[in-house]
Amino acid sequence: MLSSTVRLLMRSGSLLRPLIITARPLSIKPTLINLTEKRKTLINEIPRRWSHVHYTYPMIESRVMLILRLFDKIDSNSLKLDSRFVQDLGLDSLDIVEITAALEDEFWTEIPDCDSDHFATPRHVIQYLCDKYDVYEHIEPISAGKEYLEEAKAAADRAHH
Amino acid sequence: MSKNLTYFRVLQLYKRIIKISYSWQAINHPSKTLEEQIYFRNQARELFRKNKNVKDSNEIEEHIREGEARIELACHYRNPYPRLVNLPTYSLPPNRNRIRFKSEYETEDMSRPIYLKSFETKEETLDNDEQFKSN
Repeated sequence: MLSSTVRLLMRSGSLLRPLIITARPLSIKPTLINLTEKRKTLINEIPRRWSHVHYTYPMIESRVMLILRLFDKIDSNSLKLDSRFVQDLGLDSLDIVEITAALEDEFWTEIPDCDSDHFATPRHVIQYLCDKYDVYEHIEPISAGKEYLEEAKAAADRAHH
Repeated sequence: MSKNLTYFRVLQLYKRIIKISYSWQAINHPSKTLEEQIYFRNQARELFRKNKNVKDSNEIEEHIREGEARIELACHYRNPYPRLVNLPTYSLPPNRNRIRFKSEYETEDMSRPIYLKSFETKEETLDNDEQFKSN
């Protein structure tokens, strides 16, 4: 709930740009702008990753597979970890760009073109994101409970078959 | 597909359009934000795929310019639809009851602005013949 309101405020920041006349360099500390009484936003605020959210391998895998299934040119029944985008699923380089844009939106990160060009299977995508976030399969987060251990086991089975 | 500079430029343009569509707010018609976002993405998809097989490097450059012009106009006027243009001088609008001369097509091709490069008029002469035959 909290993160979705933060996202709303971040997106409404795009409306603020026409109102700001001068560009502020990043050395100036952030100031409050009183637009209305209800809405106060900080400019020059860099979107942060919330520190209590653990990036784990099952979480990254499920999010990536969800995005791929939501893409309308992919047949969700024939989508597996090793199904190649270009040969098996019949996608185009433009489609891969669309997928990377959706992934950037989901993970709040930037993926450069030189990297996204080499995405061949969903497995590559998940491996890339794991490298980016320093997520290792065999390391459990501090808050790991029983459900996490089951999830991790299922994900590991899927990954290595 | 050789991965030269123009390939990456085209992909970068496509990505830019998709990124704009995610954070697009329709200021003129606030209730149609989602519709305009969907229009953005669908237009990009259609036109990029339609012009996928263009080989001539000058043509590709002009299509890239077309994409950038559409982005600039959409962001400036907050309106993703292509800006309307008038007919060129000494030409009439296409009409089913009249054969359109080749010079009229040529003047229209010459006077079309860069951001409408992918929208071409269809040949009307064949339709006239078919109509006469059915009647």
